[in-house]
Amino acid sequence: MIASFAPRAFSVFERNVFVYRRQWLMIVTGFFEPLFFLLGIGYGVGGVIGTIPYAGSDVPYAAFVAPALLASAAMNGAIFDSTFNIFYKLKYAKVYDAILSTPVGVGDLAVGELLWSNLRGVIYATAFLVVMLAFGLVHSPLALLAPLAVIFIGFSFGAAGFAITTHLRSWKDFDFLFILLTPLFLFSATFYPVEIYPGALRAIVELSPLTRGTHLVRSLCFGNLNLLMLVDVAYLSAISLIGYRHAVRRLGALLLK
Amino acid sequence: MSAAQSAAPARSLSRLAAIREAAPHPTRWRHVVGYMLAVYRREWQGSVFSAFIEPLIVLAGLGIGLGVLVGDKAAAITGGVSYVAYIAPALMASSAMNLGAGEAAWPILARVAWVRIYHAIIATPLNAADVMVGAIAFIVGKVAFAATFFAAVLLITGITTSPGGAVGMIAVSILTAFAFAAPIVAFSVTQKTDQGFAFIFRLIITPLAFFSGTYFPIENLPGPAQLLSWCTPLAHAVALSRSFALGTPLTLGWLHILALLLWGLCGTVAAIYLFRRRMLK
Amino acid sequence: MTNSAAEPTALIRARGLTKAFGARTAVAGIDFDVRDGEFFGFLGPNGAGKTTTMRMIAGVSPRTSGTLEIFGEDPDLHGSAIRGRIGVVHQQETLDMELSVRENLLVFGRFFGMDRASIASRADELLELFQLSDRAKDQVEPLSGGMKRRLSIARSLIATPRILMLDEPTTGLDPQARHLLWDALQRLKRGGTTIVLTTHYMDEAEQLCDRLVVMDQAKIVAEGSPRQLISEHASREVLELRFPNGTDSIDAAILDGIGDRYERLAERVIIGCENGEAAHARALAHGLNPESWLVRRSSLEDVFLRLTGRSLDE
Ligand SMILES: Nc1ncnc2c1ncn2[C@@H]1O[C@H](COP(=O)(O)OP(=O)(O)OP(=O)(O)O)[C@@H](O)[C@H]1O
Ligand SMILES: [Mg+2]
Repeated sequence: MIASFAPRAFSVFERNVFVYRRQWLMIVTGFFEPLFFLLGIGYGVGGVIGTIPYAGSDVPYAAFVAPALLASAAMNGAIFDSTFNIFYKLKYAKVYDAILSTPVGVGDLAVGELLWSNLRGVIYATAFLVVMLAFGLVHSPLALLAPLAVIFIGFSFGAAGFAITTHLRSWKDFDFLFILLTPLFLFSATFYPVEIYPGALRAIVELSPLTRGTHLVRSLCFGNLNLLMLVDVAYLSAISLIGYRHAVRRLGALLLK
Repeated sequence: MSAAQSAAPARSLSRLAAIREAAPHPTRWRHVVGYMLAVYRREWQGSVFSAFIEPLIVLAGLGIGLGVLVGDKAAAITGGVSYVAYIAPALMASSAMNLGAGEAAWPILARVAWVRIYHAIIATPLNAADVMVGAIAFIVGKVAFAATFFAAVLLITGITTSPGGAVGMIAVSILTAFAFAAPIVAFSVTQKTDQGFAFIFRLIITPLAFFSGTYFPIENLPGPAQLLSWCTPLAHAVALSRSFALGTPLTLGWLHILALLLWGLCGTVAAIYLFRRRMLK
Repeated sequence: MTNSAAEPTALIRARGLTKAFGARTAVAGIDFDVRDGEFFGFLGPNGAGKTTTMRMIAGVSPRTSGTLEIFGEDPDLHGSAIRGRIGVVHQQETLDMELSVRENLLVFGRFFGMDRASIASRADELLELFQLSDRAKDQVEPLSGGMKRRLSIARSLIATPRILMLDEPTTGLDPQARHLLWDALQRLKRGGTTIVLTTHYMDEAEQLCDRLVVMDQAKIVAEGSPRQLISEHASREVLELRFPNGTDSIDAAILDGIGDRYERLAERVIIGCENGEAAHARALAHGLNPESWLVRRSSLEDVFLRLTGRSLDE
């Protein structure tokens, strides 16, 4: 499918493979962050909390938090790539100016970059799933589908991050990006169930893409299949599509003047 | 023979002069602070969030939110106060760590390796030591500013009730910033790219935030981990900050202060040495 | 003259080519043809519209109006295919700093859809050709300016383009590096590559270009081979008189009488004439007292001066 509408996307993806062969440290260290959250909050604070109710039964707090950390690992992997790295290539390194002087077009460029940032997310999620298995935090074989579900999270945050990045003017603006990201991470049903929020606030939290992603992954990890998961997938796909189209339009406006 | 004898004191004199040449000047480092302030005045909007807002969001997310889950069980670890009151002073210390470390990393590397403004500064009467002292002083000052804001919010919201305690917490944040900024500046001035920061932040700063008694007592960690934790600055900072906030007595409080000072001073000396080595090549 | 009906096939053909950025017109309706195998130059001062024209040809900047055909096709419609047969060297370095010297070539080859084996052999060939083989594994950042420029050109050649486009390729290079580059470009041309280059160095245009257009303020003000342009727009020799105290006070009538024409600059008067020595004698006879003087053959610089009333480097 990609081959037909963005035939040269893979060559853009390959460029990043070359770059990260030297910067593998950046990728490897990124994996530890969710692990520390799991140990510190999941087990550390979880030791005080004990169990919490989920889908009709009491589950250990660590098992409740772990799927959310898996989802946010995918989010972080995708978003850091599609913001910092893409901004650098777009504004400073002029990498895209060079690429666009070849047969590669803006569509190829966007798809290639999104594939790459998504791969990072999938790698983190898969590694984290292994950790969860080792810690006995997985309650259903359906959890093996989590790295697949993570693709929806990766694309939606990658595309949204890409779209936002095309509007940033300088490194200073990144601070504003974090105004969005930190609360997104902390409040998206990550560390406590959405039911904890009062009415209006809960509605907002339910709309957070990470809440949807977390719901999707958590349902899989507990083998708790439900129809809301279809909404999750549809919602994340819609964000991916809108973000992608906006990013391509902006790239064209910025680079093909 | 006499020539050798007279040369000895002259050499030790010149060695003294060399040390004086390499040491920071008592006041000149202020000009470095002045330079960094001038830059900051133009770019302060870019760090408002990370300096002022983010700590509050973490407090709300992990303090209040987790507090609901922890509920009554909090008393087991907090000694009676609410969970949010328990972690607020600790978050203040770990924010001082985050901000101090962050400011000591990319902005310093940028000036050393990318903008190379420090090359220009040491071509003036200022020396490498002045630059390092000025840079660290600026970072500490910036953290003091952010800490004051955070303490004010805690007082206004009633999460912390003692104004005296709040002042103590600000002092702890200043020490914390010093203890982290100085060694990380020393690291930054040896770097060529920012790749090494991935190590520092993801493998040191992030776990410290969790395992220094911030969210749960250090005593809940396995034995060796406890020991490791006390070897780092943040555990001392958290213990001090919490004792100020909650008014609980602290055994060997001076030892905690000493630990933080030691980290800061050793870091500063290392920074001066390493920066000089890089600049005077 | 040469623009007769029997025109050889044009690889690039522009008619009324126009580009506006908002209210500012960067290129205002220019016509030109670049023929197969020729070395074609755009000469002009800063802001003349050279880069803008190059970008339109390279298919990364949609034109505002006019027609443009590359290989007989419209770049707005067949951009990707056209770019596949053009190599581009940008005015500002666009090398990939995150990759090594050789990787820059390998990755670029993939953008053209080449297979890995042929990229690898082509990359080594180009590194050899541009004397970069011993730096193949190095990072790009620490290379000297001249090496970076050579690498940029090597990279643009990875897919063996029909047309090579170079935007001010020698700006910032020392004289030796410049000559090395000129040699390399002439070798490419002999190999059949069509080369389009922009420059604001007269000597470069005179040395390299078979044909060139002189651009000024978004328009083409002259077109032809360097020799043609000089013979059409400049006299045989040039007498330069230097007046450090300024030239304002000199009577125009006196200057008119010395040579065929003159240009008055801040501290120099430049006089076009058949015989410089004789003109100098006339100048002294008219009572002029220049601090120094020199006689030289006319160059493109004088053509430019003549056409625009300005010196290129002022
Ligand atoms: N992206 C753009 N947006 C707005 N104006 C532009 C843009 N690119 C070029 N221009 C304007 O178009 C005019 C021609 O610019 P161009 O870069 O083509 O000049 P040039 O001949 O290449 O000059 P130089 O020798 O300095 O490279 C200038 O006035 C420039 O300001
Ligand atoms: Mg230009």
